[in-house]
Amino acid sequence: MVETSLQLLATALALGSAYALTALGFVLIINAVGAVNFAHGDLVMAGGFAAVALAILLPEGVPLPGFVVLPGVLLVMAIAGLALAGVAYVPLRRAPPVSVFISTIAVGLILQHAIALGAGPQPRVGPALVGGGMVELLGAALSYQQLATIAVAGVLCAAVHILLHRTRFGRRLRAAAQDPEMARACGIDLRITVGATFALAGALAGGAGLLLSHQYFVTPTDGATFMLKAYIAVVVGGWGRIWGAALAALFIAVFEVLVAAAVSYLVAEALLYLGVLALLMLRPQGLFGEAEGRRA
Amino acid sequence: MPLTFVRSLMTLGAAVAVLAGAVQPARAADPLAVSVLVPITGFLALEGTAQRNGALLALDNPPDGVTVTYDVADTATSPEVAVTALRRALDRQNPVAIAAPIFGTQMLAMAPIADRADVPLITVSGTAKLTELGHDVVFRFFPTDAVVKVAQARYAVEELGMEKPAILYQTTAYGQSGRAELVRVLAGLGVEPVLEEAIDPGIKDFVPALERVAAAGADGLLLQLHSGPTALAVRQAHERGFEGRIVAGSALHQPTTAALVEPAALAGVCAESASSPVSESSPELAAFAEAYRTRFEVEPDAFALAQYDGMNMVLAALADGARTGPEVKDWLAGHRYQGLAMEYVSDGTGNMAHDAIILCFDGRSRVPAVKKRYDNVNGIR
Amino acid sequence: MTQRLELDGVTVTHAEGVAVDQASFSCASGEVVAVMGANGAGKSSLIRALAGAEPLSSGAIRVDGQDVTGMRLEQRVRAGIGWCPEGRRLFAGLTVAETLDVAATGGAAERAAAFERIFTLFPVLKERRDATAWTLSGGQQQMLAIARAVISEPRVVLLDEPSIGLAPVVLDDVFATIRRLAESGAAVVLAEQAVPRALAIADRAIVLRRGVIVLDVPAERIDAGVVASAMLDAGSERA
Repeated sequence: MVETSLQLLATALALGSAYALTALGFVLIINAVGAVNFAHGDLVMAGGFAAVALAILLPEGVPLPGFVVLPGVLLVMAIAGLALAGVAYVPLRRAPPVSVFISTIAVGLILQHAIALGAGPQPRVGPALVGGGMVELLGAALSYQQLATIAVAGVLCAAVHILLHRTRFGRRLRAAAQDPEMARACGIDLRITVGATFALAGALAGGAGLLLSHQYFVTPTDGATFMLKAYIAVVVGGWGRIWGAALAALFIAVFEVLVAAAVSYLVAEALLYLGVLALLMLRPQGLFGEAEGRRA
Repeated sequence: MPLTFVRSLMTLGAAVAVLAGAVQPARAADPLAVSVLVPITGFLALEGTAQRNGALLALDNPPDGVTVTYDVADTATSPEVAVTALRRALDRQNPVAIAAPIFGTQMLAMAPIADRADVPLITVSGTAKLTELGHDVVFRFFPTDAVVKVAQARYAVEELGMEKPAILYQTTAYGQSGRAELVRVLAGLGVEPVLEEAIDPGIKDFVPALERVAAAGADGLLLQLHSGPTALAVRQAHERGFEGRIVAGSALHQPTTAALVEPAALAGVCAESASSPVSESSPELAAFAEAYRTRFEVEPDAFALAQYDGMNMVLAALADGARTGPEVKDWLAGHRYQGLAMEYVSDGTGNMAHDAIILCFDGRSRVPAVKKRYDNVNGIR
Repeated sequence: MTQRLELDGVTVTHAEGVAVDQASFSCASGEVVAVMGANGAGKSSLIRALAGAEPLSSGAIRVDGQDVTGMRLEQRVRAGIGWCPEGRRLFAGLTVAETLDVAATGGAAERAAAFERIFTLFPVLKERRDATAWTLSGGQQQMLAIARAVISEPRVVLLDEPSIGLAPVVLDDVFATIRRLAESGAAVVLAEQAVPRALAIADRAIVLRRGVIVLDVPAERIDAGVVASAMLDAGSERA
């Protein structure tokens, strides 16, 4: 029983760490510009396809193909994030927030259909981070791929943390997110901070897409599922709380996997949504409280 | 003064329209039209595109003396879009036959309209209800669950010796109706599934399900899942070291599904299908596969072949003198046709295909071999 | 002689009407100008216009003779304008040190020197340098807001109602600090409700009533009573 639980936990953590990356990028945008990016799930899907495409360009037999294409995927998706900002956000930044909902939904659909037309509608398998093979840990068999996924997601999250908390640029990003006008008064150019945030979010989505694409394949229609997970994670973790969202995403994956293994997928899904509803009613600021709540 | 002027103008216009309509040549003298209405975008895009490709391959090579024109439209994912496409096709092209979507929900919406227009719908949809509603315009060229699920269950029990199967089925209509049929056939063979698990199409992690399968003590898996989920289930079962045999639904016969899984993970895994063009078990099939491959740059699957056969049967009807929708419909209902995949004949309600095959993978290649044929499963032929 | 800060017919219009009407005055280096008025008289609009957060409908603003009227908000720091806004508006989630780092300009060495200057001027911030802004007391937050405005050594310092919500004992410190800013050479424009305290440290007193300057005199010439009646009365005295 312990081995089974450990096995399930490892699977859940691998899945959840990719979800955490997704939620992280999503909440960064919410924080920075107050806009909900409904194209975020499709960015994750696009990241998966970018991984597939770049892997095709690699010569046969390259070891650790997932690692080899990772920088390329991050770069391509950062540019995609910038492009998204330019098309769906910047022209509408003075319009009511609902305009950005619609524009990002539209861009997400365009992305989905463009990829379906270009690459075909069938599922694709992305490059593996590491070769096959399992390792024994306390009686449970964990695959190297799962462990590598968790490790890569962890490194990316740590990199974001270092960027935001240990670099001047990151502090300026945070300042711009918390009070755009005062940030401008300090000489910060919001065009750069907004652009950087979208690029960062795009890169994180790309990373998540790559991590998911080998183990779970990627189909053009996957965007909606990822979007939903990210949105719920942000609601549960507390709107605007960066690490709250990431932790909540992890928690959601673990919850779903454990309940599905114990009872069934349908019950897991139903309980998750019931839980979210209860949370919204009893503690609407989320488990960790809204970031906006603290004022100085 | 202005109002009466406008009224006169309208009367004049109406008169002109009526005269113009009367002067039009009789429709039957136009080249015969066929409409291809299939999902090219959305979650069934893969199957819809296969339908389109198969239809085009047939329609571009009509028998001597037959000329057809055709139009292709996308029915995407909703019944509304499908109905709009159908209405538009009926108005503009006046087709004598329509290649119709694999998507059961869309077909259910389209059937009554096609019935009123008396134009046959040629489809590969497996949704049982289609031929139970009393519309005589639906002709499905892919065997229904009543045929393929029999093959799947019988192979599992009779050939592989499964006694305690677990069923993983999709929560969609496809999954649910397939599961019901599997359970029924298994009961007839004296076998009861130890587990039946509903899987949402968005689920990518099958480990929880596989845990429960193991906990239930299953000795085999029967899958009724769509393409991606089938590949995920097969692969993850292999990774977990699942020891039982797996017999999957038609999705696994599709080359694009097999492409997602390493050959080693496919060793001993079987699937039901109407046919497997890439297995090329005859020279005609090999020729079809080659022509398809060359033109569309992708491997053909059973849906493409079934649509190809269906449209060819329509062309045979035209070659035999049918000129209108009702005539084509009657011809399809009353004749046998030897297609590439099998012989087709109506069972009275529009089900044309009654044979199924079981394919198995050998663990070295992604091209499966035909292991067993189940002909004339429901005794129609 | 060019004053450090010059306003020339500055007019700010909002949807509701004219907020600042043809305001003209100047502020010399080392001078504290107190801008007083009732709620809604236009003090904040004036400060925001000087800071670059609101556009002028007409008029000009000059810093050391250079016209900054058309400069966008993010460019005004380089023009030498520091702004401590109404309500403080700190970056709630950043620490004291992080806030100062964000606001400081120049290379690493210049920023380190700036930190030293600030910690000398505001010793309480040095103690609390790793505290997150929202955990600071009211007085400490005000100090941080002022520090953020002055860390880049601006030539003009704008303060919008820094006394709000602070206890009297804290106010002593705050106003003393503001006086020190002027003494180090900046031109300080202080919009304030706390009239006696403002007058105590100001060199000039300006009273706004409904966007119009109705009083502009050296501070020692008047007292709170004169200011109060100017805020409400129709009389005006310019000197």
